[in-house]
Amino acid sequence: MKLLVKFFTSLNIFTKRLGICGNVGLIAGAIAGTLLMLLYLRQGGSLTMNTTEAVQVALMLTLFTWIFIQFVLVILARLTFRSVAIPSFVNCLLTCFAVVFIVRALGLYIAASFIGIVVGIIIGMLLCRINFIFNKLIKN
Amino acid sequence: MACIERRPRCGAAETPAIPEPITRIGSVIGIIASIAGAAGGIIKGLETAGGIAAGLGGGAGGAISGGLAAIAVIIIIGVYAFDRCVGTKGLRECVAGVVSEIVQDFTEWTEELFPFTAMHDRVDVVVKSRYWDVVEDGEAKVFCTEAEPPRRSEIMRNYFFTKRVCDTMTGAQIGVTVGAVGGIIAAAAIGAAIGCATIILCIFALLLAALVAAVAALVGALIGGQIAKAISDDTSPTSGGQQIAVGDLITIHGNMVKREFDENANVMWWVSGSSLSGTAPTSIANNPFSYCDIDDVFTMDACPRG
Repeated sequence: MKLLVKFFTSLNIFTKRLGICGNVGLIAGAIAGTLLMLLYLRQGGSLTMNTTEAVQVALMLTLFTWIFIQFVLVILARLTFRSVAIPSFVNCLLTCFAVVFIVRALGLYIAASFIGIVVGIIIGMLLCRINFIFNKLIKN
Repeated sequence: MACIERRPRCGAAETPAIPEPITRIGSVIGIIASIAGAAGGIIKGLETAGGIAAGLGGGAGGAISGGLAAIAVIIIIGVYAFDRCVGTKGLRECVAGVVSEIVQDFTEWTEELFPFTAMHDRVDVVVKSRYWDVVEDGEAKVFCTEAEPPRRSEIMRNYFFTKRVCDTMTGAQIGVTVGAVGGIIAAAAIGAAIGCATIILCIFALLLAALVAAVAALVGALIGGQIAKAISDDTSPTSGGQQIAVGDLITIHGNMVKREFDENANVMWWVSGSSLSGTAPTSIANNPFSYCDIDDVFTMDACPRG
């Protein structure tokens, strides 16, 4: 167990570079992608979703990942709900919708976990960047 | 009163800190998702190569979803236990000053509900100006008092190893394992009961299974942690058998490290020895204390002179 924990702790070097937004995106994307892959396997390895179903799935994943992110940010990291609720919701919403629609378009449900991680990191870091530029513009 | 020309370097660290434990949870979830993704790929590959059915039954789908959630909770608690109870090698340092605040373990409600997040007893010391270089070492974040300059002073956080915290961690680790087993069984039952008639029902079953397993694991950690906490002794930070109180003049030896939990500030993790040299006189300002007075009243501390 100690070795396993040491291994996970050593991976911090990578996740530390992502910032809070990147990490939130990573978590949301990884969860959404994995559940999408499980849904695919549960459906017997063949899954076809129409647009309405894809939107419904994305919304459910958004809600689930957002609740988990609130647990991490507010309860464990002791950040205030007011400061993180909306930004993390936007992050989860964009990530989950992007993951569902990209995976659906490519038909790569089996690789949804990996796609979720990559998409989540990109969206999270992009949101941080936009926020940084926006704040700079306001200050100027 | 002997305030000095130099101003304390209060504020953020050179490298901005991401609040603990976001990065750790990010890596745990990322790795679990990657392993699950690889396993899914292997199952699909075997189906293509060997003609076996890749589909999951209702119970299996729920159990896997719940199992992944429960494993994530187990590892997150393991990471907490590692962080709290395995020492980090740092620099042997010594600081002296006046005790400005004492934060004992289990002071927040979240520490009671999620006992694995409990923190060791902390003694905050307004250090003498002589030790500012130690507090600022390595471009760390520096905590300061709110007094206006030149009375503004630097604060060093000092953690005293609290056995009760680590006993609680052990209890939480045992509890989470038991809770996870129950959670996975419940998740399998949920998966089988809800079924997979439509895509929406199917994803709902998977989400609910994961949620139930995670909550069961956390409840297990709560019960296990609280039992261990109740059995363990309640202790307050002491120095030479004497209980430390706000206003005490203290010298602290310890292992100094930069910690994410403390926004990348240098802290004593943990204190290896301490000695009290009486109490700050009531005639000096104590809300907040200032190095201007402490430098004068606490001239002979127990740190080695270089």
